[in-house]
Amino acid sequence: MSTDNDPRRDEELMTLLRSGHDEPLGILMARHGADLLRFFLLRSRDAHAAQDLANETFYRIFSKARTFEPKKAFRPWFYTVAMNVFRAWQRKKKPPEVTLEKVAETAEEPAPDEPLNDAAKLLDQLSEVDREILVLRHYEGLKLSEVAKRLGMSPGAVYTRLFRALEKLRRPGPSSNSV
Amino acid sequence: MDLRCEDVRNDALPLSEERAEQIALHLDGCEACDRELRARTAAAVNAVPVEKGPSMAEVRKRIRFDRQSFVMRFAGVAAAAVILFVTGWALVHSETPKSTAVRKVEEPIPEPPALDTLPDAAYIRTEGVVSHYLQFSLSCLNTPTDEDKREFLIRALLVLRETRSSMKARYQKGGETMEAVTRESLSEALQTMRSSPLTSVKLLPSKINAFQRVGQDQWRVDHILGSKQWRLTLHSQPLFLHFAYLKSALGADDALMGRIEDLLWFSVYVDLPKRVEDKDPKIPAETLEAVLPLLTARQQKIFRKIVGVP
Repeated sequence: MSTDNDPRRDEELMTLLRSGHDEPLGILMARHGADLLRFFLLRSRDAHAAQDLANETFYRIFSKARTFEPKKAFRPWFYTVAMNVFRAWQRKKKPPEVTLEKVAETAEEPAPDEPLNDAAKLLDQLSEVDREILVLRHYEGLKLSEVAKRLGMSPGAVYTRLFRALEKLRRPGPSSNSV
Repeated sequence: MDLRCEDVRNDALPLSEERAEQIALHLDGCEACDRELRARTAAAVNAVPVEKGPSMAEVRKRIRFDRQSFVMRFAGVAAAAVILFVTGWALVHSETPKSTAVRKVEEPIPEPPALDTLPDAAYIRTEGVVSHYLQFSLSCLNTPTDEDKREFLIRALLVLRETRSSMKARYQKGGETMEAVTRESLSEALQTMRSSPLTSVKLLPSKINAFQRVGQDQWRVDHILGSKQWRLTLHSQPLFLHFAYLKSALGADDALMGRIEDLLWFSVYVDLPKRVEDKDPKIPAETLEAVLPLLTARQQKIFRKIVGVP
């Protein structure tokens, strides 16, 4: 889907990017930036992390443009890069017991929590499984039976969860976890 | 039992397990119903509000940063050679005045300017806070190796240098308090650090929510670390470790300041927040030892006055 006025296809823009021009990056960002942010929001529910991960993805799109094969479709490649970025982020995420050492021990005191933003509140209503179903369905384009196989549940259960998740996103209510 | 498309589209929860399986089977086999469900899913996902999209400025900064890092590896070797040369030169020249001192009438050495009398005092303070905070962030490395530390410090110094231009621009533009400029500069520095994460950094603050000076020599920030907001209170580093102040007080050009920064950043500055909190008495002597060889005789005298060690 194109949200800009540039008539060139994503694959053509990638060909330009491969040859060292970085101007197409802005067009790709305008086209896919918001969708990519939602992809990371669904995965992480962390608006700051989603922003960082989206920036990192576009950086990698630029730096790894040479690995893109122009005859293939852009979107699957794009989300494969995004998924790799997300996995790397997950690996690097701190274990909960890690605290700031040295200065932090003596110099810090807790301050009030930051309120969740709108997107995080909305996604907070969905369980991790529900969000995974949305990602697999919407971003990876899998059929219900394929999603079911990936998650080890029946296609009917996937459908029920998807249906319920769509309702919750459509009519956001108080936070409740369905798992 | 075969389902009709209308039945599938009009069904509502709750559904029996059997019914749900039938619908799922129908959806995977019926292109029209599958497309309709995909459209509904897309509409729901697209309705998730995104406040701020990915930033082209951040991505460009990251691209530029990587190019700089590449150049830095070569520049590091060159800088080391220059430092050796300048150190040798300064040592040789520091001995020559003995023979000519009798004939020359030396200009009196001025007193170092008080920070508050300088027109760019606010900028000096902001730059001091950002450099101190970046060194504080070194404590975010969980059991780092020397190589991890070095990599972090190189990155942090580049980030400090990159953040300076926007600090200056904000002050030149005017209309913002020192607290506001400092908060934004800290946030920018953090974002730049985070845009190019190091594998050794397991946890780095993600956002600065507030900055405030506390008295003359302390400041505090509220920053997001993990999923929580924390308040960090630190003592400022001594005035002689404020790079922007040194530049002004010594009348140093950019090349000399670059060498001073390189030397201090990887020596006295390492773990500086902790050392300042502990009132480490070795800081002045180590600073003198590092910086004096780079200065002219006159600058050396001024610097001794700034540090407060005759």
